[in-house]
Amino acid sequence: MVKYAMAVDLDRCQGCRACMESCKIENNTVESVFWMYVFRLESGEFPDTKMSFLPRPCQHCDNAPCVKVCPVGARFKREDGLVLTDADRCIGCRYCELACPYGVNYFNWAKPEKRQYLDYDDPAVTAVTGGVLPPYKNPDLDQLYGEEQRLTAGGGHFKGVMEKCTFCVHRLDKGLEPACVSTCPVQALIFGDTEDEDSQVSTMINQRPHFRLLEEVGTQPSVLYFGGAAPTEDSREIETVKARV
Amino acid sequence: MRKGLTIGMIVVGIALMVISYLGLTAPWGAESVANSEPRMQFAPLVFVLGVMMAFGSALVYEMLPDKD
Amino acid sequence: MATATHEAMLPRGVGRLTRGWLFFVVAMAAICGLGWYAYIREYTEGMTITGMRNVGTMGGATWGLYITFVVYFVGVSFAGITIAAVIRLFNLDRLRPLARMAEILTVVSLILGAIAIVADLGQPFRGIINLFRYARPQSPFFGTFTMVIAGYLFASLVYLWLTSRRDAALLAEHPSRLQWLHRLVAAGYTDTRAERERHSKATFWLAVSILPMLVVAHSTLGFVFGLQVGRPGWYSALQAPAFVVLAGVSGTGVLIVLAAIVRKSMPRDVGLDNYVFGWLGRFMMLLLFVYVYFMVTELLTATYAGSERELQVTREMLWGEYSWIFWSSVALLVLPLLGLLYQSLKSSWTISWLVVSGIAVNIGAIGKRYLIAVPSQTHGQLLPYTDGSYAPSWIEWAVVASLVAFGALVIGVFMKVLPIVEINHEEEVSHA
Repeated sequence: MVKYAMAVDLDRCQGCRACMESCKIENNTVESVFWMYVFRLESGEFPDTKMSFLPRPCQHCDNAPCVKVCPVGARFKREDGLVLTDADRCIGCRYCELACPYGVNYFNWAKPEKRQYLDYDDPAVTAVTGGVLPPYKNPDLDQLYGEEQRLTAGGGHFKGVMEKCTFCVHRLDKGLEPACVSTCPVQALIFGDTEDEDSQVSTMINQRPHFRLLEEVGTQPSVLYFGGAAPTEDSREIETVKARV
Repeated sequence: MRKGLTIGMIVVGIALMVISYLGLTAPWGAESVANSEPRMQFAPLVFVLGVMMAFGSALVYEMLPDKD
Repeated sequence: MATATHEAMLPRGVGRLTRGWLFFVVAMAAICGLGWYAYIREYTEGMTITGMRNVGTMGGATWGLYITFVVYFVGVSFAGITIAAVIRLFNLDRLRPLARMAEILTVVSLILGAIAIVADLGQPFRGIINLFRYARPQSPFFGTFTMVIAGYLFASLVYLWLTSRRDAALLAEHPSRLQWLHRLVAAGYTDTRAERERHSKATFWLAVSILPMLVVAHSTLGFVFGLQVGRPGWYSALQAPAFVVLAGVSGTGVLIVLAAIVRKSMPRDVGLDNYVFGWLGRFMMLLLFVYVYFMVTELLTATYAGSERELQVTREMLWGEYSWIFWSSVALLVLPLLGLLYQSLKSSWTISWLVVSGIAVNIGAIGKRYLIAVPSQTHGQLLPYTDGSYAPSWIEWAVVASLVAFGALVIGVFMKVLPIVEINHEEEVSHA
């Protein structure tokens, strides 16, 4: 049985946020939605400040609070470790968003076509796109995935439902790695099967010390952090993230 | 007749509640897909009907006309 | 407004449509219309037109005014049926004039709570169907949906119907435009000794079984918040009991206001005297004492120790962004408590002061419900997100206002259709 996990090497992460970009493009998420998010943090008092970067995908917890609270079972845990959201069943109550200690959930507040990054009605744009909205839509995202056959890949399907990082379930289905992992220029993100003793993730787990975020709340996340350090109580974002529409 | 029907409704109502809660709705847990699927669809409706039947027995007790 | 002479014979103002009443109905309907407009816009454009936004990177609150009022309305419903059940179980005959308005308050309030939940869903129609189809007991929402909305609403409706039959039968003896309805509600009631005994037994056992279900139902609503380990400020064992107690406080407050309005609108004395109001005042006072105890316990625990992130929520409430709501809610709960204590010690109850207290504790309760919901979202992140903000948009205010107006409208119509105060055995209908 496969059991996926992601390893994040904080000694390598340089805060470039290429993973955030590629996640957006791969999953067609709308404005202000960052399934993969990288904190740019500082701690300490000037001039003794320290800077650090913390990639934060969905942690795909083994004891996921979001799965426990979903009233209709739209948010579910797969045996291979992925925590996914069925866009066809979700009723948009946003309880999972509140139960999640990591803040990885996003609700579709508006119609997705109204929240794209370009004004696709602009004639200069339609001249190029031919009016297709949005111009690039990943065709894999409309399929049903898994033994359970549910609509779990991609974002921005329609308004009124929740979404979050899926570990690129549609790419895993094809034997590829998640988009963020493939894109990272310094290989700070490693993805693999912890049941496979020979995978890079398993080797890292066995050889290097690692920690998980918010271990104390008991969620048993599947994302492991190597090197670096967990954010402290003093950590704060370097700039205010104005990701609000 | 009235007493029997009333008690019957209460018993059946509670039975429906217990059976649907413990056996037909999604099992507790967050480990697998099975925890997000009810064992029978519309099991929560059965639960609600069970509650309504149990309380509806009061209506029967008061309002069912006497046979004699 | 000409009323048929037949209606003039019906007690408690049933069927008598005054100009003031018609104006009230039109005003409430207008507010409801505004709410409908606001909700249709929300449904078609998406919830982006509310003030809610995602927590975390978007720095918003994802549950706002709607959930505040869901909790508030369900809370108000608690007191109504509890008081009606207590009156029945302990045969508190002098409080009987309160019973029916308490029951209708519960029923209406629950309906408002249910509508408010649906208004908060991103996919409302799907929500209604999928809850009946797939609801999971592990989610605290299961209890809210099945026990509160379906179970206790139905039980309260059954109780209301059974206790209204006798009065409906009395009114059905008189020809009027409402006679068909009175006959329907009476459902063949024949005031024989056997029927009265059966009625007494049925209502007794109903009251006995509704009370524990109420406590379970309200506790699950508290669990919706209290079980969330990832939300500083929410994760607490006190949420469930505190919910139940504040529910009693706010519900009793509304009942006091409703009783005062009914008393004013009745042409003759219907038993809503100082004794009744004094009892309500004392009941509310006791519950307020318990609630203040819970508040102090929570505050002490929160400020004594806790992680930085947890302390932040408390800080924002005590002297940060939410401090004005916090301190005014505390004042609106504690000052009436002192006033009630004073009246209780002097054994003299003034109805107007009680009404003011009733309104004050309700505003305080709404403030407290808001404070339960919002600060833990904007300032309660365990990861180092920047703090957020939330302000309800006019859409949310309009929908909430229309719910309150709808509730008032339903109670106002009910008063003209069935007697809002039970008719005593000694009273003859024609003397009313």
